[in-house]
Amino acid sequence: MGGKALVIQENRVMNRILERHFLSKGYQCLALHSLDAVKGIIAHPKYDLVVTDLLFQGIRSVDYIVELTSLIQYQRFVVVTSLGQERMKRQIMKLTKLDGYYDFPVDLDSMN
Amino acid sequence: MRSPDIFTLIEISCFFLGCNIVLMILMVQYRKYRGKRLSNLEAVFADCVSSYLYPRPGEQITSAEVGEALSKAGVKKCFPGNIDYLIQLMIRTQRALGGINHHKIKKLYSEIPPYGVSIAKVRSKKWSVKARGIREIYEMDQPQYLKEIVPYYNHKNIYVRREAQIALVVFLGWESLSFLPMLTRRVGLWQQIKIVEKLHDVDKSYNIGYLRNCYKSSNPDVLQLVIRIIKKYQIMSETDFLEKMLCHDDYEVREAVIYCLLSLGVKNPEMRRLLYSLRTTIPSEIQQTQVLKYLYKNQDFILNHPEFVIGLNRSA
Amino acid sequence: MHTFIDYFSWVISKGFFIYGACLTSFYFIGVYLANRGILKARRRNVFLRSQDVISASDLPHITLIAPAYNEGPTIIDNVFSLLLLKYPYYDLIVVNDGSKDDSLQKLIDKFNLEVSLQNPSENPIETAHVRNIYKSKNTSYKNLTVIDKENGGRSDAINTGINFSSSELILCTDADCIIEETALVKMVTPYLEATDKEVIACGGGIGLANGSSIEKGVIKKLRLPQNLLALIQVVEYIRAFLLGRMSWGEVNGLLLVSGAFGMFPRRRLVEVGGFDTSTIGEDFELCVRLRKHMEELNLSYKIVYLPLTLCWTEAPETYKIFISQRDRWARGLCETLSTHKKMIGNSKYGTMGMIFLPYWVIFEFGAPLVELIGLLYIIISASMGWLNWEVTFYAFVAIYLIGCLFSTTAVFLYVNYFNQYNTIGQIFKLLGAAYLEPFIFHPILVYASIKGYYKMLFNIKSGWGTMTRKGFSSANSS
Repeated sequence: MGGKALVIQENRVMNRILERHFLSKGYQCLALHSLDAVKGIIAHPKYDLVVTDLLFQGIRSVDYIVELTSLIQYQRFVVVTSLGQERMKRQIMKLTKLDGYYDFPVDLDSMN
Repeated sequence: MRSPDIFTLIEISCFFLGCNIVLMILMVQYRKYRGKRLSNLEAVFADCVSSYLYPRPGEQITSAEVGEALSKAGVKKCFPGNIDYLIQLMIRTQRALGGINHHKIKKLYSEIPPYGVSIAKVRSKKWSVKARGIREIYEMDQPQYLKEIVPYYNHKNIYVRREAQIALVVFLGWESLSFLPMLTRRVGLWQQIKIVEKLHDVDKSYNIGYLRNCYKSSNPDVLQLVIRIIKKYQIMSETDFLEKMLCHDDYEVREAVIYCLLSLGVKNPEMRRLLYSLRTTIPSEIQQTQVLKYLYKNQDFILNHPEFVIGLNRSA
Repeated sequence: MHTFIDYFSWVISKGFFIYGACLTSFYFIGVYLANRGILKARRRNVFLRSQDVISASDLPHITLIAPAYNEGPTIIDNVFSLLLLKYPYYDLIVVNDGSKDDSLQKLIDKFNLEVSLQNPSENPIETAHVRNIYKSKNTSYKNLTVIDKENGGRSDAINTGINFSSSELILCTDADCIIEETALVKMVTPYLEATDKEVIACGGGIGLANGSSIEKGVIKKLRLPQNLLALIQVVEYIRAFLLGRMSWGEVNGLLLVSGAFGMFPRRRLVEVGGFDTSTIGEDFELCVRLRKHMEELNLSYKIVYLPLTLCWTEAPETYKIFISQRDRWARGLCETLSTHKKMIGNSKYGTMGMIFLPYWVIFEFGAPLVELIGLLYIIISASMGWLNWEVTFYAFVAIYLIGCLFSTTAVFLYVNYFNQYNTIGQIFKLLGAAYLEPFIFHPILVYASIKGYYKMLFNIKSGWGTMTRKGFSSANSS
């Protein structure tokens, strides 16, 4: 494995854990806390993997996904979130092609 | 009122007014300081736990080192607020992680000081402390304390009782449902939701025997809970029971059945047909109309059942 | 003659003293109850955290109903704000109550709305004619419905929303309110926790956002208003919501859940026939009617107040609009008390009939009248030379200080328990406003209330009056 990974999680602890997880898998990992932080980076490389939450302050989950996917280029897109409701899953899947939707509790080591 | 009395009143008012203002200023300063401290504690915890779970090559972080780092950040017996905050962080992290990480955090919780905080809370006489202790034990998955929790499953305090019942479900799974028919006290909606979620987390497959044992319960809350379990596990075989419950005296029980049949109907349209055909047996006009509205929202249902629209027009 | 005047004067002053002492005692009991209630709520919160609710399934479905009338300049931002709420199962119904401006067209354009089929099931509450129902073609606004109807007033618009909704819970708000993202999660908790008593209404605190930075319907930075009248109202709201409502909630004596932000079970709303379209104090009237309904059904119930500011609105910044608003509130109070006069002092309605309603009559309705009579008495006494100036002056100082103490305690509790006004500068600004309030705000308030009572007494119709708002997005966006 390897490549460039982008982790976006508001929860500080989960953010660090995900960052460490992908570093241990050989990724170059950039961990951010919000969409504003993503916007703050002037030139984004093409990410091999984007791992994001859906719950952020001041933005709806659906709008967040639409905005994020328009901001960056990526190969694989994975959602790791506490929002496990079927309704939310369906709605997000309609908006973008997902390579995975993991709701809590998530077993990071079994993520493909 | 004489002038001296008024003077005393003025003096007392001035005194309390002054105290209020001084206290308020002190409090604002303290809150700023506390906020920084907790933020620092969270940062230290995030670093420690992430390193503990995924150490860099050559790096080996032990639970003792984690404990030491946290202690330096203020997690000490003399600061119970910090301990509670740490436990809160651990619960949040534990809930988010599954697999090996879940077990590692569970191990970390039992290995770092201060030890035995949660069980000490369970032994407290204050209901809020006791209930918190029980919650911490089941959230951090510490089944060794189950025996101490069991006696509280029917405690007079709702919070103690609620947390104890959830703990039973977390540690015993389906087997724990055997306490349901014995429950005479109310089971709140949140308690029902939590029990169903925890049960599903513990065991993704269902055991219909334990469920059917509860059908005879005279407690409407228990019946509601059972219906929620049927909904969560998408059990299609219990239509007879659901049909019977659709005419139950309790409004909330009927409400739960309506949602259950609608949810089952996503996979099995027959359930929605059943709900439609039985709607007139529901002893509440509000709910009958509600059923029509729900079904009406489902376009597929309307397209596949033209007679439904005719029925709707009649009812209008 | 002199003896009679002395006796009369003694009776009057004792009467005022007893009234004032009772009111002050109630206020300080209120402080104790509010503090107790907040502490209890905080203890309970440990077991039901917002994060847990957000991620839970099988939660009750909520419909948010926001009536809008001529809200063209702000409608889009406000609807965006209402769509931001963090709750997995909610729908938003915006009811365009026959607006004469371009509100509807703006909504149609922005949210890509198309006419949807009308719900064919019968409407339990009678309302003005519904012209069209719109749903968005865009899947990300799937939970938005816009109802276009003929004008019938705010209550009628909410009733239309109730008819259309099918959820278990209804949250009534205004299209010009900014609701905290986690508001629904917090508001639903009393319903989730209820066991022995059914929750028939739940209210949360309303704050004033004049002067704050607002972006896309979210408060980015909460600031205190620059305008003195609005600033004083911030203190007034803190006192009324945190101490008043919280303490009444603690003894299950709440008779008012604000119309701008209140949650009700749909079932009970339908049973009582929704909001009364003929009154201007529809929120107060609904609460009293709901309680009456439950008393008559002989069911145990409660009305809960959450000690949190979950909804932000705009306070009037000019005296003209302020007087018009308070005049309307006074008329609403009179109307409701008059409609339900049979319940006042009626033991059939338990504590509501014997304690809560009489309190409202004596201390809420009565206070402006007593103040007016007091003022007249002082003027007459002074002109007749009966007044002991020294005692009067010190009594005034004492009363003023007690009032200040009460306001300071309210600010103290707010600062202690909430993290909204958290700088020393903001605290002093709030205290300054509280200490000026008796001189520049209270007399106007009494005047507005008396004006309202006068209109009621002589049946002078003036409806809702104009409540012109500057609008958050246009005025305060940073």
